[in-house]
Amino acid sequence: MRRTNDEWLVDLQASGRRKEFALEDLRRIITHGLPYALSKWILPSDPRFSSLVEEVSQETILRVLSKLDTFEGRSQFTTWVQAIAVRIALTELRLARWREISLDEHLEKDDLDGMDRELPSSDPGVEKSFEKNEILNMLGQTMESVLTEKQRKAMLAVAVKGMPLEVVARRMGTNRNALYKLLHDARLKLKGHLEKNGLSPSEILAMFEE
Amino acid sequence: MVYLRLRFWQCLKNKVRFAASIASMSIVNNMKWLRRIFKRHQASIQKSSEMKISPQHAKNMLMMIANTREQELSCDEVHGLLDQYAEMALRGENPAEFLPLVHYHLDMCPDCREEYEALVRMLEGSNEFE
Repeated sequence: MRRTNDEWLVDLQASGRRKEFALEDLRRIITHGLPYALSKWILPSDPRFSSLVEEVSQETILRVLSKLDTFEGRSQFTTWVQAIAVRIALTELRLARWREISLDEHLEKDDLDGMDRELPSSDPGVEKSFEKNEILNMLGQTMESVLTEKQRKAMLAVAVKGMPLEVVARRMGTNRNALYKLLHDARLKLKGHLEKNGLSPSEILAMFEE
Repeated sequence: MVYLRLRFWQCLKNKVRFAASIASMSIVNNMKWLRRIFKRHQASIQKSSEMKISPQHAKNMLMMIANTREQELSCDEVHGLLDQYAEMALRGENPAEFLPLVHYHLDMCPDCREEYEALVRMLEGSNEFE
């Protein structure tokens, strides 16, 4: 049964069978859509899949019911619900994927993939290599001198190590919003420092890509 | 200012040419010269070797730094607009034009980007969106 946004809101705030039907329809929409949403993360054939979908559906419905008054009607009600389901599901998957990995240990590991530090030689690309190495050094040192330890840790974890913000935030005892703000401040500091020294990040980037 | 910067890099390149030509000995001296240019603090030089950044990671960071704006939305603010943004995209509209700060955030935040892409897949697959 298709409902308008207003009908969803009325039915979910009703009682008895009317609410039960609405909840069942909502659960069906969530469980039907999750395999598509999670197709790049986990396949339905995975033994953990059905329990994950069940858990996410329940958590989504609880959250939707508690936040009904915040729905502003800027989209279809079901789209709003699905956005909540996606966030719950991906948060769960990210935390599960990184559960066994300590932030500090991960940051301490050398990550030299693709890094083959080119030493100057008689090769024609020697200038480029040398410049690249200098940029890498300059960037590393700027991070060391300009950022706080917390900012540096967050930048390394997210921008260099590719860890999800959600995971890094929990490991650092904060939340995703606060971590994003921390990273934003760090980026602003780095940008300001480079520009103060007459270096435009875009120009360095262009040089790096030559 | 632009001229000065260009001159700076020109000087840098000349210096590098010089370094390449007399390879072994001059490299160390030129590195010192470059360090002076970047006004490195001695303490940070000691620590710098510990911070290893690959070229790809450096590019990623430089892109992030270059695209940084004074005002940016938080992840929760973007999440609150993601339903509207996704529907606009699926209707073939240009959500980046109407919600530029959301578009920008999705470029900068991998977590939110993944969630947006998953939501679009969900809406497309479930046929709930018309």
